[in-house]
Amino acid sequence: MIVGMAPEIVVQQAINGLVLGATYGLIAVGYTMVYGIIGMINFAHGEIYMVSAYLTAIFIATFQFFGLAYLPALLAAVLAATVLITALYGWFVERIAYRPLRQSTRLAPLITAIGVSLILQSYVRLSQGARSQGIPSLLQGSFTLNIGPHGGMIHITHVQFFIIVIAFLSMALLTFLMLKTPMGRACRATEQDLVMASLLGIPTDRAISTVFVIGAAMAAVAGVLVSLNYGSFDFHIGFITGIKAFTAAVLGGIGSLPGAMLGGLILGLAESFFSGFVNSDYKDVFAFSLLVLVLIFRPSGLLGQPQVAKV
Amino acid sequence: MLLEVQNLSMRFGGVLALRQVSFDVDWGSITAIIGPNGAGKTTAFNCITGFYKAQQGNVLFSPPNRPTMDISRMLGQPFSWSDWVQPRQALSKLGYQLFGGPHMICRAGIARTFQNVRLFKEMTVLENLLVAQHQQLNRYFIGGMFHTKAFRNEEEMAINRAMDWLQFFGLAQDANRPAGQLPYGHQRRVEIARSLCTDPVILCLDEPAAGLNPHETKDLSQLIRRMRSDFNLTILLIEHDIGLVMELSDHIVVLDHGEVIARGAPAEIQQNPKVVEAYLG
Repeated sequence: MIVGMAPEIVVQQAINGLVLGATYGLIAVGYTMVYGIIGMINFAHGEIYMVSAYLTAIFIATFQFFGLAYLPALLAAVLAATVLITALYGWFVERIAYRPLRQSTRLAPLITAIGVSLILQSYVRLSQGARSQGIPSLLQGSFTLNIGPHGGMIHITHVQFFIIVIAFLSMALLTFLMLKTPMGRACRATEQDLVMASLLGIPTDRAISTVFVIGAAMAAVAGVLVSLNYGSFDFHIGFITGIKAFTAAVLGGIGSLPGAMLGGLILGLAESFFSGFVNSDYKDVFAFSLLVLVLIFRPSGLLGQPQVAKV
Repeated sequence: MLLEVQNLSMRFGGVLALRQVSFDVDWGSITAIIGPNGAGKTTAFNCITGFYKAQQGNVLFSPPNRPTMDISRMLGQPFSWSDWVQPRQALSKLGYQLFGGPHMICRAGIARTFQNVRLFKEMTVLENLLVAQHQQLNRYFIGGMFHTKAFRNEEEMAINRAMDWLQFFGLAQDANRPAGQLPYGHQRRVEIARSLCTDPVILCLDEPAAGLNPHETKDLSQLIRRMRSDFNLTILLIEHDIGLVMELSDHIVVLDHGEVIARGAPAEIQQNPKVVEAYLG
């Protein structure tokens, strides 16, 4: 930490970083789970996130039009509807673009992933227009806390608080689903040994679909939260956010679920501290340098297990 | 007949691994497949359990009180010209292409183990056994998400069932250890326990005694007998240990170079000149 900085600025940047990192983590979950189960990088995942941002705006407008004015109910309804529809997108993408290529070379689904990503972008641009869109800020106001001996103040906006709470709740729910339910067990078994899992009666195609659906749902949670926070988006926000979340997944060890969450948080915090204390123009450079450094010293990521060659 | 293998053929590149292999497995029997290395035993096994799709031939499986099933059809067959005139056949093919796969064969009641143990090494022993019960469990995602009472009851029943099997195999004390950390002999038994958790009619064991010491082999043969007598299981096994095969099995199928060279009771097989030649020549 940089010496001589006022503690309130450090705490403020930490909170900003936590908010950013939580959304990276939510998206990174999709990358890491899909990689874990079928060993492919789903480059269309960022676009799924972008679609969810548009869906957020559409659902807010729709529900408000039908007179849903009570804020918590509106937020819950928007979150549920967006997650549901985005999860359907995830399911369709897997069914149409990846499943038919399951038996082919490893590169083929990678190429279709890029194709799907372009299709989704163009589809959103054509149907929603190329200009950036916005949503009204629903959650206004902030908490102000006094810390430090000199009466320094930090601000946590209500949106930021909401993001942290929802992000951590969804991560906890996901962890529970994966560790404690038959569905999660089936997914983990498929991840470890697909053939054996299917010989034990697990419909592995469905387990793979489930993973795509969960990934898309988590990206949708991130989409809703980020849209509420920034209020504006356009049809190519998926690219840079997707790359960042992918970086987070690799940083934490791709294939590892806690790794993705941890990687997201570290990346968010690093970016936030760097832009707060050094230079905000070079924050992406710093984030990716961090990735390079981690990969030099721990090629499998922070929590990833080193690949052992299978005989 | 529980299992009828009819004219099974399988080719890998230029090698004909199976050539018109036919044999039957009786309900409640212990049937062994033996033969020299490279005879096609494991290939035949893989075709029966849905690990490979046989290129020719049928495997008919008729569990008691259920209709006969064709294993190769359940794996999904390609469409052919005759489907135009038989729309029902085409529909069933489409259904199996969409939803079929090796998991259907497991659900039909065929379970197997592997020669090299394939446990989910990062899961605990108990979880390995719970995974195998997937098809019998309430898989509703909403129930799991809200942790409903029905969900918890079902989970508890699954754990009890798994613990019963672990007790049967003398592994109850290892239930919460990661499966990859168990000694090899225990891992083998966990694998058998896991395949029994799928509630099979027939259990296919691929060299269950490989890598076991004579003492463990003796225990294993007792276990196999008990599985048959206590749980009405039919057992099909590949084994190199001829002593074990002769002692255990009711019926033996001898394969050599992808062909069945002899079938019959152990006493007949021992005196069959072709078998002696295949093993010695």
